[in-house]
Order: sequence, then C-alpha cells, then structure tokens
Amino acid sequence: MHPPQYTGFLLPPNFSVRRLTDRLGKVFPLLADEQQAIERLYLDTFDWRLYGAGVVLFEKRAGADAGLLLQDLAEEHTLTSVRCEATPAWPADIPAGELRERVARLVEMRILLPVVRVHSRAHVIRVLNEDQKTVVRLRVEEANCDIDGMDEPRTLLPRVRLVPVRGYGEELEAVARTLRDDFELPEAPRGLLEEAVAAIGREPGDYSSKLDIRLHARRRADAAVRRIFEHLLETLERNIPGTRVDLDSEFLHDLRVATRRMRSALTQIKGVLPPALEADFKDRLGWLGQATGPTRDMDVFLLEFPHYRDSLPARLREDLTPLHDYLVTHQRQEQQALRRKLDSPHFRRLLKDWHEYLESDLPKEPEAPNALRPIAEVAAERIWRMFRRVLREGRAIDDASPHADLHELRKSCKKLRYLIEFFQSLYPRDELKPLLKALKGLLDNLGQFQDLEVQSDKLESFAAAMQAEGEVPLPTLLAIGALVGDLLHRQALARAEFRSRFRAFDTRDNRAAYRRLFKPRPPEPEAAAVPATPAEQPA
Amino acid sequence: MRILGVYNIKGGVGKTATAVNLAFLAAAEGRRTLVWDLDPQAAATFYFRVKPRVKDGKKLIKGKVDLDEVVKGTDFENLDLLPSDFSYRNMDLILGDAKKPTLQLLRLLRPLAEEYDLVVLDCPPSISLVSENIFRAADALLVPTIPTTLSLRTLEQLMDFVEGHQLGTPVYYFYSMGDRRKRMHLQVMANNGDPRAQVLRSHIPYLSDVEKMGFERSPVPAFAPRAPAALAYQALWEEVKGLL
Repeated sequence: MHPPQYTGFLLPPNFSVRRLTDRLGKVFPLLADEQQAIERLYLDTFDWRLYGAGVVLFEKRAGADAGLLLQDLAEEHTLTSVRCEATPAWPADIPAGELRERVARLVEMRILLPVVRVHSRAHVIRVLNEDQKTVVRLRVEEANCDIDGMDEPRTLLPRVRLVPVRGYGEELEAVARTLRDDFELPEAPRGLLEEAVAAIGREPGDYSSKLDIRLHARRRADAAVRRIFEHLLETLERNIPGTRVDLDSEFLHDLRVATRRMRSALTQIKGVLPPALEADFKDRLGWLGQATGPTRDMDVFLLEFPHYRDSLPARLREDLTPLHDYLVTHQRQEQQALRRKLDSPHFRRLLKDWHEYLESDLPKEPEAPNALRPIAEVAAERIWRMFRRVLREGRAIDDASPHADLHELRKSCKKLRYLIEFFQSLYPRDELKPLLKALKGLLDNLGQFQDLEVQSDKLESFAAAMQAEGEVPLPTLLAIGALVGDLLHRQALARAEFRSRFRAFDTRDNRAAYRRLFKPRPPEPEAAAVPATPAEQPA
Repeated sequence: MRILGVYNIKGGVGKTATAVNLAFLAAAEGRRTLVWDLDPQAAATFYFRVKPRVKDGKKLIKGKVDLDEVVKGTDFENLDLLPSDFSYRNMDLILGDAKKPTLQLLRLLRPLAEEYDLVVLDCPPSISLVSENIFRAADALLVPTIPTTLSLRTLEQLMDFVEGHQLGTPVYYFYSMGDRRKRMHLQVMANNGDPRAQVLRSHIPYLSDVEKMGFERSPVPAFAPRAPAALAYQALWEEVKGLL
C-alpha cells in the first residue's frame, strides 16, 4: 500500500496553533519539535509559463539551507531541486543540471520574475502511539506573504499538513478524521502559491497573450467591439513597464501584437465604431507599430543569433562575433529611442483617448451602420468575407507569382485569424479548433517565407551599416554572406512547400466548416428590419 | 542500492546495535536507508519502537506480499524498517521450499532498488540457509567480533563457509564490546584474526550508552550525539561507507 494522499487543513481565524495542540493533545500523545523559519520566493515568467506547464518554482531558505525547488502544482512532490545562493533571473543563473534544463525548456526567452514571497514559521508536531513511536507528523505553517512594493504583508491562514509515516496509514486516517470531523477544520487548497497569490490580489495565469474575450451573441456590435478593445488595451498597457526597461524581449513583442490586433480590429470590423474615430486611431496605432519596430527587429536577430551561429560550419562561427556586437549595441540604442517614445505625451494621449472613448456612454443613435446589429451577425459576416478573400488570393498564386502576392495572402490570413480569435467565444470551441489549426499551418509557411526574406534583406543592410560605421573584417562579411545564402535557400524551400500547405487549407471539409459556421443566412421575412448586406460574389 | 549484511555466527556481539546505529548515520547523511530485521528476536524492531509482525512473515519470504506493503517509517527521516516477524524462526524451512532457495532474499530485495540507497540486514546468528541467502544478497558483510579467541574461531568458521561456497562476498570485521581493562582483549586486538577477512581500524568499545539503547529505544547518535559511543559508531560508519 502506498502512503495515502496528502491531507492538508487550514486553521480558521479563531483557531490558534496553541488551541490545535491543546485539543489534539487530549486525543493523541504529541511531541513538539523545534520551530523553523522558512522563506519561499515563488518565481515565474510574466505569462506564467511554469504554472501553465503544471509546475511551481520557488527559492526556499531555511536556516543555512538555500535552494531552488521545482514541484507539482499541489506542491506535494519535489520534481527536482538544486542548491542555489542567488535568486535567478534567467535559466543561465541556475546551477547546471536537471532543474535548469527543465526550467529553460519551459520559459524559453522569458525572464523569471518574483511572484510572491511567503514568510513562514513551521512547527513540526509528532503524533505518538503507546510506544512513544512517531506515527504521523503535523507540519503547521503560520505564514504571511508580500512582494516588493507592498506596504504590509498579508497574513495567510495557518496550514496544517499531515505528513504520513510509512506503514501507519490507519493512524494518519485517525488524525485526519479528528481534524476534519471533530475540529471541523476546512481542507486547505492544495498549493501554497495559489493562496499566496490570491492574498496579494492576483491570481495565477492572470496574464496571457492569448485572446480570451467572452461575448454575447446578441449584444449590440459596438458594445461587443468595445469589449475587444478593452481587452487589447489592457494587454498593451500591462506590457508597458516591462517594455520600458526591457526586462525581456517578449513584453515588447506582446505589446506589438496587441497593437496590431487593435489596428486589425479597427479596419476589419467595419462600420461599427464612429468613422472619424476609426480613422484617427488607425493612424495613431500605425505610429505605435512603427515606433516599436526597430527594437523588435534587433530583438529578433538577437533571439535568432544562436541558430544563425549554429547554422554555419564550425570554423566560421567565431567570425560572426562582430555582428553580435553590432546587434547588441544597436538594440540598446533602439531601446533607448523606444523608451523615449513610450514616455512621450503623444503616446500617453493615445492611451488616454482610448480610455475616454471606451468609458464613454454608448450612443443612442450611432452613425456607424453596423453599430446596433447583433455582434454574432457582424462577426460571421466579416469572417466569411475574409475567408473568401483568403481562398481567392491563395488559389490565384502559382509558381510564377511574385513574392508580394504571398505577402498579401499572409496579411489576409492574419486578419482572418485575428477575427476568428476575437469572436471565438461565439462559436463551439471544438469546431473552431481544426479551423484554427489549418489556418495556423498555412500561416506558419507564409510567415516563414516572409520572415526569411526580411531577415536576409536586413542582414545585408546590417553588413552595409557595419561597414559604414567602421572597418569590418572580411571573414565577418563572408560569414554574413553565408548566412544570407542559407536564409534564401530556406526561403526557397518554404516557397516550394506553399502549394501543399495551401491545399491542406483549401479542403472540402474546411470550406464546409467555414460555410456552416460563418456564412450569413438569407434573412427570414419577419426579421427583415435590419437590412441584409449585399451578397458576396463567389470567387 | 547497496546491501550491507551485519552478521555473526555468535549472538550477543553487538550486531543489532551496529545495524541500527550505522543505518541511522547513513540516513542522517541523506541516504534513503532500510533496515531489515531478519532476526526473530526482533531487537532492531524494538529499538525503532515498531511492533513485530506475527503472521505474514512466511508469505513475505515466499514473495506473496510485497516488501513495500510492510515497510514502516521510523522516527527519523530517510530511515525505514522492515520489521521482524515471529515466523522468521522457521525461515530455513520456508526458504527451503522455494525454487532457488539461496537467492530468495536477493529476489525479494530487488524491487526496492529504486527506493533505497542502502539496505542494512540485521541477521540472525548461526549458519544456515538464511545466512547463505544473506551472503549472496549482500554487497559486503560486516562482522562485529568480540576480541576473544572463541570469537575469532567463529570468524574462521564463517570464512570457511564463504570460501567453501565460493561466495566471493567481501567480509569486514571490527572489534566490538572490547574492554581495554582485559588483558586478553588487548592481546587479541593486537594480533588480528583470519587473514581472509579484512579488519577495520574502528572499534566499538563496551560502553553503557550502547546498552541504554534498549531503554531509550533509539539509536545512540539520536539520544546522545556527543557521547563516546556515538562518536565510535560515526568513525565506524566513515570507514564502512568507504567500502560500500
């Protein structure tokens, strides 16, 4: 028989540790061990990659012991641990070994941030049998928690955890029964992290770059679209602090994605917002996209750099070092420029205006033609139209088509994807899943095709810029040339793959699914109060 | 997983005290350790305040119950006990029924390899099928030896047996319960015993703290960590772990 599952309880506010030992001591012989102070600092990425993968990482200090532990979400099993003196920000700061490998795989390029700090005092109380043998251990932790920037720590309810002694399952059950049935202690939520995070006013997974917007199908379109913008604006704003100080590359990335999605929503969900506002915000978001571009370009090259290096024959790799230096220097310069733009009145006003609009009352008689229609109708119409455009553009592409046609198709695919993602709550999740998967397969190919072209162009211009800035060793130029050649070769491979990828998208099943979900129905006679949109011409 | 058999043909030589104290020290260093009390007298079981079992020993040896199910946690971290069972007094008969009677213990221990770093066998005295099982299962035998001529003769008997059965298990012995006031003890300790076994430098003198284990029902280093007996076992453990 395996040791029974972990059983944990909370001590309610009127139930002190003293009261627990007094009452329990009347039922079982007890022996108290000495107390110990324990500090735990939970770490995760801004977007909760570790938590999302079902693991919890924390630094634990107890006396002279300091280590990092990786545990399951219930914080019952230590998957792996390592001694570590300093709090790591990057996987590279963790001593080499299994824990570092696992964490690095999950967090990728993201920085580890402190989530919550739990300060606790642990008492171990042993329950003895008639031979004075320890048969169960009670681990009682009285804790409070905080995080940098909080004035006062928040107190957590003391937790009582029953630690089984092997072979004494009945005794464990007896103690658990007493705590649960006689003392009526509530069961503890399984992990400490969730409770501590809640105590500081957050919740695990409270940031994700994925879209998750709940909409009601019959809601008037302008109100629903405001929900979408609120969500995107929130995502954008939450990424500003991390972008300003460049904590890691993904804050800026998520900020840019939110900007692009907003712009796409403005242009694609037509006739819902006031036309003047639509045009104004479109311009200003365009400015933001451009202001953030150069830093992102440098970030991409720095993220890609290890792959670039490894793609070269070993004896050429060192030759790329000047390119790396160039990228690091220019990333820093672009980052400074970006920070000035994020601190500019122009940007602040953009955010302020957005908030003002989103918080303003909905107009009783909006001038936008689609503002009052149910959102589900508008959504289906837009998605259907964009899907047809993707089919039209994709089918027109043959081996002789210019690159620009593929780039156009990519833009349309992205718009389609954003639209489906904005409105996903209006449709059955399992029916959207295969659609999004097929679309993603196509987008990956088109994205690769275009990224490789952009990267090879950029590399060439970097080489020119490096030369303009000073002497560049010939081997470095040759190595960059080798890289460009490799990128162009891979681009050609992506181009060759396009047809089969598009065929996998343009299937009978996929088309039928789009038709079923999004094709506007002809209006029923009594519902004809809202004018029908002009029927679309088949491609 | 390493298996250490603490053994002597003679009883009353400090065998159980050695098994219990060394196991405690190993566990305190973080080794996941199991003591298997194979002696029906159940002294190790008593020291750990565990109740001996009374009925399933036969099933256990025959492999009908998993060892896993009868292991008991002790009061100490990393240290578990497989308690003694009264039916172990008939263990020869039970083992004799099995297919490969001399490999039965090893077969039973194998599934625990993932769970423990060290298994300490506290063996019953006498030479029998049980002992042969123990010799075959153990990576090393540790023989506490009282520094008397008679004791050294039993060491020779043991070595004859090990050699006669071509077991190849390394045998280490150390002097136990030696009394420096006794001339004979000093003489024996000066002239070592059977050269086929390796004598260790450490020895455990006769000390009252070792006897107190029965009163405290605990390993010496747990209740008297600074006592000479605790330090003597610590020195012995340092030497033994180098051999495992």
